[in-house]
Order: sequence, then structure tokens, then C-alpha cells
Amino acid sequence: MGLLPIIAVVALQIGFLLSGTVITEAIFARGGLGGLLLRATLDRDLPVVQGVVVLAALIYNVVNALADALYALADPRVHLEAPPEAA
Amino acid sequence: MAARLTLRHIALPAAMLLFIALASALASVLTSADPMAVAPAQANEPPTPEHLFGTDQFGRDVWSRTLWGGQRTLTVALVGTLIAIVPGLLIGLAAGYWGGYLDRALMGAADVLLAFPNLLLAMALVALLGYGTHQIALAVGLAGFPAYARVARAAALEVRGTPYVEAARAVGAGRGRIIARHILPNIGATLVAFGAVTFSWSLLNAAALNFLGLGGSISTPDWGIMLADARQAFRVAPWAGAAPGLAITLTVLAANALAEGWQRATQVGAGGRACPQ
Repeated sequence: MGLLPIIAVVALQIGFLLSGTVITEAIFARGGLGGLLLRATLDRDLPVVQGVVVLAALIYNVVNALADALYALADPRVHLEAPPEAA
Repeated sequence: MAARLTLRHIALPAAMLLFIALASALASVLTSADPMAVAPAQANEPPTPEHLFGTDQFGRDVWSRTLWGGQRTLTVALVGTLIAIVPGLLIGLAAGYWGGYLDRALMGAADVLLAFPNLLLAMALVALLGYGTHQIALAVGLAGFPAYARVARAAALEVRGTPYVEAARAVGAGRGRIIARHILPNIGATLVAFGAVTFSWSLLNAAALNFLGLGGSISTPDWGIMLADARQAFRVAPWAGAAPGLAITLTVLAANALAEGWQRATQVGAGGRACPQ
């Protein structure tokens, strides 16, 4: 099969990686967004939790939008717009 | 497509999955030990004829717990996968084929769901519907479905731009026909492969949610709960974790092998063999 589903999966994996950092950073005691989120959750520091979640959501969306743009580069026949008669 | 799906490509993994499913379904026949019975005097015993896979830290029979646990774990994983795949496929195909505003709306909704932390979604569901196995299956499905929709959309988007779809449209084929006869068969391999990944992922995700206690009673046998329990006594009684770990590994392996066999059987080329370049 083609390259597009692979790009889609890679973009999804980047998002999953982000949520994986919570566990990794907790286990290996490294400072970062995941550790910050965990500490904020345990301290019930809601504004910080909200901030990290919004940032994560933003990264998810940017990465998926980039993937959409990459589709057109990977296969020039791909158009995100509706074909005239299928709309 | 289905006609070329010969038995030899999928016989081994299918038999393995059937074996695991049957062993779980027939748990009451295959073992007489109570999976919930606690026996502190027999804690952490190595495998013996009486306890085939040994006992865990509470003296519970690991063999019996693995069999009974399979019922719950496999059901949740299967239902979760279906909840992820069916709407994921429909939404992905619609977004990929129609494009434009519909695509933007559907993928926007999928992104919203995707951006929600998985665990938060599961906790919200549990808060709404109470603890239980169904809620875990629903949470796992809802967490997996945007990913499946995105992959299905990418595959449909790619095939939509190919000359043969253009030709089909040019000769006046309807949308339904193009999707069913030209797009679906050509992205089938990708869909099946990602379906197997979704299944494995549902299994592990359900195990994680059960481990956190969102599935209700944590003494109920479940592969994820068993692994979590066994982790604490890993150095003393490695067999307690080996059985559910092996069961999860074998199930995931068989599901992936089944998808690969399917892929090879439906590939363009003679009798399922790879097309010579």
C-alpha cells in the first residue's frame, strides 16, 4: 500500500508518544511535560493541568494538520478538496 | 477478493486464536480450581501438577485465573475493537471520499476526541455509567476510533486520486459503487492490518484500565489485573506473571499473523503469492 496511511500512523504515534511521557518521566525521574503533568495532578494544581492538556491538544492538532499537508507532498494526486461531482 | 482467501494463509494463526478463545470459553471444564479462592498458606508456589502454572501471591491458582481471565479480557478487547473499527471505518471512508467540508467537520470531531487524554475519557465514562466491564470496552473503543478513522481516511484519500477511480467516475459509476468496488478492496490490506493493531492495542489498553481499577472488582480474573498483581512479586513468583503475559503475547501475535495472512492471500498476484515486479 501507499505512503499515506503510514504518514497518518506516524502522526498518531507522535501524539501517543506525548501521553507516554507521563509514565516514562515518572519511572526514570526526568523533568519534563509528563512529569509536570503528573506532579500538578497529584498536587491538584488545576491551572497547570489545564495548561499542559491544552498544549498537548494543540500539538496533536498541529501534527495532524502537518500530516494532511504531507499527504499532498507524498502523492500529488491527492486533493483534500471534494471532487466537483462528489460534493 | 474473498475467493482467493485460501485456508493455508490463515490456518495457523486462526487455529491459535480459536484455541485461546476455546480454552477461555471452556474454563469451567478445563479447571476445577476457583479463580477467586485465596489460600495464604499456598502463596507463591511454583508450578506443580496440582497448580499447573503455580500460585500467585495470594495463593490463587494461576492456571485457573488465566483461563477465566481470558473470558473477560478477550471479550473487552473484541468489543472495544468493534466499537473502534465500525464507526472509524465509516467516518474515515466518508471523510476521505467526500473531502471538503464534510472531511473537515468529521476529522475535527475526531481530533477533539483524540486530544482528550485516554484515561480522562475512561474516568468520565466510569463516572457517568459506573464501574464495569462494558464501560471499559466502550472507553477502549472510543479511544481507538479516531485513530482508525484517520488511517481509513488517509487510505481512501490516496485511492480516490488514482486513475482507475477517476475512470470509474468518468463512465458514470455511482458513489456507493466506487466506494464498495474500487476503494474498499484496494485499501482492504491496510484496514485489516490496522485492525489487528487496534485489537492488540485494545487488549493492552483494557488491561491498563483494569489495572487502575476502573473495571470494577480487581480480584476478578483478568490478564491485565493478573500482570499488575504479579509485578509486585516478580522476583519470588515469576510464573504468576508469565502465564497472563504469555497469553497476551500469543493473542496479539496470532491476531497480527492472521492480518498478515489475510493481506498475503488478498494481494494482487497469482494465488496469493506476491506479485513479481
